[in-house]
Formats: sequence, C-alpha cells, structure tokens
Amino acid sequence: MLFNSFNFFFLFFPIVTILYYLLPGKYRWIMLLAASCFFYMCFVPIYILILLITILIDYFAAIAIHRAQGKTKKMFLVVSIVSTCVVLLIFKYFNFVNDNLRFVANSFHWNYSIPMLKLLLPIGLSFHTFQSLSYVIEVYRGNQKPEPHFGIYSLYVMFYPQLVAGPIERPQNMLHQFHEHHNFSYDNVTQGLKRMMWGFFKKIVIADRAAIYVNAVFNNYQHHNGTSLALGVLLFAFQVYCDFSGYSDIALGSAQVMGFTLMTNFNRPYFSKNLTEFWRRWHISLSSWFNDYLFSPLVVAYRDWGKFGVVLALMITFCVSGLWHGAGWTFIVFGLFHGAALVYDFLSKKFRKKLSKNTPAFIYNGLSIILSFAFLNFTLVFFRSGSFAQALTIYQKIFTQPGKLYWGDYKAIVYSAFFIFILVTIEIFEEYGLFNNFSLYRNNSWLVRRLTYCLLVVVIILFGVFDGSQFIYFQF
Amino acid sequence: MHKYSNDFKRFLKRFGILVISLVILDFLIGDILQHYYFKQKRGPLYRTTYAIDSTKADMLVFGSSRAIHHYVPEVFENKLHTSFNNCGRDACNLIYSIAIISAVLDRFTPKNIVIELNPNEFSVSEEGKLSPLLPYHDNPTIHGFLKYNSKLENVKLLSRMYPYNSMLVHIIAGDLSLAPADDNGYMALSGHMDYYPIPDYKQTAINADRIKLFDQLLSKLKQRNIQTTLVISPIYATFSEPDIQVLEIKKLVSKYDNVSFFNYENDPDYAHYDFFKDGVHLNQIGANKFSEDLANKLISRQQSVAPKSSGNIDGKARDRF
Repeated sequence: MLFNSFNFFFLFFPIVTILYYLLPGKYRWIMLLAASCFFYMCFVPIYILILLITILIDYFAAIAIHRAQGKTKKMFLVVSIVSTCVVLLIFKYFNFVNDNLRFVANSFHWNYSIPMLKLLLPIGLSFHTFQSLSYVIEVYRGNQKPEPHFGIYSLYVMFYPQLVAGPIERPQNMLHQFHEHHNFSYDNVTQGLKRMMWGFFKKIVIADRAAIYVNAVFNNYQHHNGTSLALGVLLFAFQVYCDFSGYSDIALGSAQVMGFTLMTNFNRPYFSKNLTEFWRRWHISLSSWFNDYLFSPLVVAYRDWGKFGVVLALMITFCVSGLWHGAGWTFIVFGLFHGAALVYDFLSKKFRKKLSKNTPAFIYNGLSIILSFAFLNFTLVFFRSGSFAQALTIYQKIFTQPGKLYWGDYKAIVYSAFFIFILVTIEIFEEYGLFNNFSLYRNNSWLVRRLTYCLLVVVIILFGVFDGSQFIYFQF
Repeated sequence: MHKYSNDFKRFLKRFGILVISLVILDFLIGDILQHYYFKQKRGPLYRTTYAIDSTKADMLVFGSSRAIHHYVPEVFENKLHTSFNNCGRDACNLIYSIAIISAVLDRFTPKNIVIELNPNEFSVSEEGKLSPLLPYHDNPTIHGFLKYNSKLENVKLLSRMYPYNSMLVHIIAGDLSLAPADDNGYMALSGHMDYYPIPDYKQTAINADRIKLFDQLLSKLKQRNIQTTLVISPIYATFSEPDIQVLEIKKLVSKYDNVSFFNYENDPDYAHYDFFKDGVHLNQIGANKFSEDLANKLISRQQSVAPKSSGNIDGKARDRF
C-alpha cells in the first residue's frame, strides 16, 4: 500500500489510528503488527515470509549474542549478519554479480551458464535489513538488551510507517516506545497530521509533477538536447528530494499521530555548504547507520594509516552506500563521486577554513551552497540513468548540445517551477529564521494557521498528481 | 484521564471546524473553476466542450494527439464537400474517444466518424488518464465511463475542485485566449524529426474488455447508420508481423458493413523523416499528404456502388511494404 494512495489516507490510516486509541494498551502491539503485516502484504503477499525469516534469525541471534561470551558471541553476530545479508544478496545483488561474471567470462570466451534469477525485489528490503542489522550489532556492543517479546521485536522491524522506506531506526530509539502507553495527545495528533500534509504536498504536488518532465526527457534521452536534459536533471534533484523527504514526513507524521517518535531523516539538505554537511542532512538515518557501523569501525581499523586510512574508509563507505541504493555500476559511481567529494572536504578543511575567513560570509556561503548543489546535480545523472552509456550520453549532450527547450505539456514545467519556488522560499525562511522565524504553518495567529492548512489541502487537490506513482526509494 | 478526554474533544472540535471550512472552500473554488472552465473560447479544454455540446459537423475525427495533428480540415471539407471537426485530444486514448462519441450521439447523428487508433490502443492502460472527462461528470453518458479512470472516482467526485485538478493554467489560457489557436481542432506541426526511428514496435497483450467496449460502440454506430472509418495513420517505425492489434481490428471490422479500416503501419509512402515531426506525429507536410490520401480513399468508398457484405479493410499500403 502506498502512502499516496486513497486507500491509505482515507481507510488504512484512520482505521488503524482509531483502533490504536480504542484498544487497551496491552493489545495495541497486536493490532499494530497485524496492520503492518497487512500493509506489507498489499505489495507482494508471499514476501512477508522473507521478513519473517529475517525476524526469526535476528530475534534468536540477539538472545544468543547476549548470553554468549568471547568468540562464541562474535560467531553468533557473524552468523546473524551473514544470514540477514544473504537474503539481500540473493534478491538484490545476485543478478548484478551474475551479469558481471558473465561479462568477464564472455570476454575471455569461457563457458558460463548460471542463469539470471527472475525475482521481484521485495519492497524496502534494504531498509528493514539494515534496521535488523542495527539491532543485532547494538546487542553485540552491549548498548541494547535483546527484546524478549517476539511480537514487539517483530513490530520493531515491521512498524508500518517506517517499514518500506525508513527511517532506518535504532533499537535504543524505537523498542522502548512499543512498551510505553501512548495516550491521545492533541499536540501529537495535530503535529503529526500537519507533518503528513506537508509530506503529501511534497510528494503529490512537487515530486510527481516534476516526474512527468523528468521521465519524458530521461526515458527518451537520445531525442533531447542538452538544455532539456539539464532541466530534467535539475527537476530530478527536486523530485528525488520531495519524493523521499515527503515519504519521511508522512512516515514520521503517521507515527507521531499514535505517539511514536521516529528519527528525523531530512534537514533541508540543499542548503548544505559542502558534501559532508549534505550527508548529515540527507537521509540522516542511513548516513548515521553507515557512520556507526561501517565508517567508524573502518577508521578505527585503519587508524595506523593516518589520513590515508580516513580516505580509504570514506571511499569504501560511499562505495557500499552507492551499492545500497541499487545493484548497478551507475549507483557505485554515484557513491564513488560522493566519496571523492568527502575526501576533498576532509583534505581541504584547513584551506577552506582559511578561505572562509578571508571572504565575506554571504559570498562564501552562497557559493558553497551553489557549488554543492551543482555537484549533487552532476552526480544525480548517474543516479537516475539506467546505464553507464546513458549517463555518459546525457553528460555529453548537456555540455556540448544546447538547444531549444522541450516543453512537452507545459503545465509540468509551470507547476513544478512554481511550487519548487514556494518550497525553496519556505525552506529559506526556516533555514535562516527570517522575519523572526516567520511561518505560515506555525503562525501565532490561529486564523493564519487554519487558512494555511486549508490552502495546503486546496493546493493538493487542485495541483496534485493522482496517478498513485511509487516512491523512488521503495525500489531500494 | 480527564486531560486526554479534553484533548480528544478539543481535537474533534477543531478538526470539525477545519473540515467544514474545507467543504465550503471546495464548493466555492469548484464552482468558480466550473464557471471559468465552460466560459473558455479557445484551447484543448474548449475543444472537448465544443465536441460534446456544440459541434454539428457531418464528419468528426476522434483520437489522441495523432488525430489533432494528422487530419487537416480544409482537405476533407474541400474533397468531401462536408463540414468537418477534429475532436482529438492530446494524451487521450480509446475510452476517452468512446466516451466523447457516445456523448455526441446523444445529441445528434453525424454522417461520418473517423476514429484514429494508436498502434497500442487496445493494450495501453487508461487508468488515471481519463481526467479530461471529469469536468463533464454531470453528463450521464460521460459519467458511465469515469469508472475506467479509477475505482474510487465517484468518491473523489464528492469534491467539486477535483474535476479541475491540474487544469488551472489551461483554464486561464483558454479564457484569456492565450491558448494556441487551432483550425477546427486541427493543429499543424512544423519542422521535421532529427533522430532515427524506433527500430521495432512490438505489441503487448490486448485488453479483451477494451475490445468489447469498442465493439459495443461500433454496434451503436451501425444502428445509427453512421459511416465509420478506423485509421492507424502513419508512424515512423517498423511493426512486427503479424500485428495482433491489427488482427483484432480486422475481426471487428468484418462484423460491420458500415466500418472501414485503413492501416498505414509500415507504409513505404511515408517512410521518410520529412513527413514527420517526431516518431509518432506527422508534420504539416505529412498531414496534408495523409489527409489527401485518406480523403481519396473515403471518396472511393462513397462511390463504390455495390453494397458490402462486410467491412472494408485496406491493407494495400501494408501489403506493398
């Protein structure tokens, strides 16, 4: 079930929320678990078994890890990680690895006959795999006690707001919340609903509208000139941001309505002054996951190598991060580009600090934001392209073949541009706290607030794209 | 406990006020948009209203953007000595055409109807693509087709703004006469394509319900004794043989003696990029050539004296390929 579907907003969400508050506290987890199972089974029902296997492995592994000592403890951890990752490897990476092995074999004229698997990738597999991994690792590290209640642990992995596209939660933040009793709170419910509406606005009004133009040019990139492709890339930057942050807002909002607090996943990432800051503001739950469980251990492991150790850790982390996004070379290159940018940030820290002192702040900060955003756009070509060849053709066209802009159905550009302008304006106000932190959404006047809510609903109905399109990050 | 109960009452009260405000706003904005929608005098939205409510032309063309850009009114008017209106609409497919034709038939009986078919007409999904029909939901005939847009369309139509979703810019352009001018619905395309064609055009599975719906329309047209012409106009691509859609159309046509079918797929006369704006649209030169060609074929059909036992199927162009 998609968050942007009629069934979710008008049926599933209100029914689950009402039932949640009507039921006595001790039965709520059962209802939430059943609802989450139903939510997941709306995609491909049989794949719930994959989730169940992962849950069983990690539930018992965590208990075993907690009880064991020394090498046995580590062995249970390794078994748990490997078994959890095997599912991911089979469904997500088998064909990619197989395809590359076939290519190598063909290059050397070897016989290679392992067939490709015709499997549909379970929705959100990378997300709940990482969430399960964080649980066993935290238990291993002693930061979290294993959850004795199988149902509650299952809910930790399956909680519907964050099941298919995160935020990738940590057990310390989530597990205790399932044991707590959440009473109906006016503030939680209204703030949650407001957050959801803002998420719907970003997804339905901006992301899905921009997608019309982006898909038109990227799906026929051979027939478009550099100008149209450049606009396509720019719109894709806003599409992917509004799509994913919109999803996160709906997830956080729907959880908050029931009194749960999920971790913030986005913090106005396009105002970042460098790529390091960008990754602290973009998909925060994933960045921090990689930081905690891959980058930091690697830095410790390579501590004797000095700066080179950090560089290597960065490149490995971002290579894996790229691969996490998708099984393809384009995603690996996307990751490597970002790894290289963070290496540059790391190595040029002193130089940039000096430069910022000698340059007026608004020029230095402004240029930094523009350059970071431009770099992100540059790398997004790889993120959006289906193949290496497509990405290279798009770069070549953007830099050598300017021409008349393709408008298509002009409303895609007109509406996208207008609402992106609104979004950027609102985020500028939030980022810099302009006019005494002026906000229509959180205005002191109740009339202004109410009018803003009404206006937002009107905008969604009048300008939203109701084609029930998927969220981009579901495929990961 | 008292606090939670108060919180709940407070929420219900304010949420209720918000919902009531939204309902009022929805009515107001919806009615304003409806007023300005039907006030338009130009543009694609106006052409749809004109087709449903006003046209009395003897010859009507229906279809998608390929209808809009391929059928030159002047050619048909001069050659066939008939009044002509192009009722095509961008990005719309067969169910849209069937709905509009059905609405037109409620009002009057044209002499000739031409239905332009896309090469994937019976396989492409139209779910969510019938929103251009929503402003006419009050028309009972049109309303019957809205279920193909989405299962929950009737619920969504409780909102009065919803039918005008994504139309504001077009409504403004139509009311202020900023929309591009057309000639009886025809819009010429200038320039020619500058890329290679799609190498092969493969059909996906045919939707049996769509065939059934189309068959019902053809039956209705037969009852009203309307000369009906089905056309797959030229497209810059090669088609796999046999084209399963064409086979289905031929089966349908053979049931009705008032229906002819002209298929320009793989027609060598149009295998030149000079005739095309892009892979699927003829430019002005191509549209004139095609319109002349089709008009001549329609004249030949009119002049054929012997009554037919079954429909006409012109596969000449294709056979020559």
